[in-house]
Amino acid sequence: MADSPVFDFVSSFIEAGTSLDRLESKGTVRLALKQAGLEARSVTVDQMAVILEKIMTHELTARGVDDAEPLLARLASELETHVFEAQHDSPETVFARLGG
Amino acid sequence: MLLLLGISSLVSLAAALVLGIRLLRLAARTRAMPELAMGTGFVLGGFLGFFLILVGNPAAGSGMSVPTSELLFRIGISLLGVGVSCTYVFVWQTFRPESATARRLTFAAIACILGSLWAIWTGTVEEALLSPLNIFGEIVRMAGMVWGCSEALLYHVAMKRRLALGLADPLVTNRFLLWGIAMGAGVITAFTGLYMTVSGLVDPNSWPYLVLGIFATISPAAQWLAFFPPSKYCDWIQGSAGEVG
Repeated sequence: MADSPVFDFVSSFIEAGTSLDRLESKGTVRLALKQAGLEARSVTVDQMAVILEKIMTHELTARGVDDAEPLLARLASELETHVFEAQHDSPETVFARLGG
Repeated sequence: MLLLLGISSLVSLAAALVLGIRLLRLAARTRAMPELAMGTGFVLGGFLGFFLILVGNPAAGSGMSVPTSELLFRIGISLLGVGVSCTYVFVWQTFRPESATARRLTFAAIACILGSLWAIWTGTVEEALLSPLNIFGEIVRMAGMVWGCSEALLYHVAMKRRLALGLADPLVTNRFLLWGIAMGAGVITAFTGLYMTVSGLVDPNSWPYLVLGIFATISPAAQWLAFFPPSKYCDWIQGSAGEVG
């Protein structure tokens, strides 16, 4: 199954701004998402913004990235303004709707 | 035991009808498949199908002629099959909408369920219920509820992690748990019913009737709490989430 465009965007940004390769950057983001109970295939912009703020700094620092904080600040800013294509409704969106 | 079964049947019918209509009205607004599938399943399977099975059951003592009661029973079983087919569609479209495997699994299951109805429409009802084809159909129906239960409970675990970070709504998180419980109770109900059919148990004081009565009540009650929670329940769930946070 394809990963969400938000996931791809963040992984590519981290790959370009650090010494991590594609596999490492994707794996790092996946692990951060997993800690928060999120999935690469369905993560949204709002959810990713929280991950960048609360989890990602620690994950990147643990992988030897020295300037993690300024990198993530730039990424958060780009994420806010980037336009992503519409995704399938997540199970959370469906269940929220069913409850009225 | 029969009184308990009677009460659980009424609870089931009422919940299915009200929830089904509500979801179909939502589907008319949103044009989205999950609510259309669940609403259709509730109305056709959970309400109409189940009602016809109850009325057409020879043991119900309704006073109808045997051919009439058997016809109603057959239609009821068929509609129940349609209802469970809708459950497959709901689980696929909600949890795995982009998965080709889930799509194939859903269509294969629906074909098996509809195909197993051949046994219901040929021969006597008693023979049909005990036929390998019908039992196979029952197993496929149970598998749909097992799939739904697993997906919902796994998602509930993920939602709890999100809740800890403020990324999830406590009521929606709880809704996954309740729906998972409803599906699980549905599996136990279906399995117990199948056991009773195969073993020929008719004593209303035997243990399967108690199991059936309990779990046939849990399923609609959990669905009701999931989609029509009373305000005190909502307050309790929100409050508990606040304490954990």
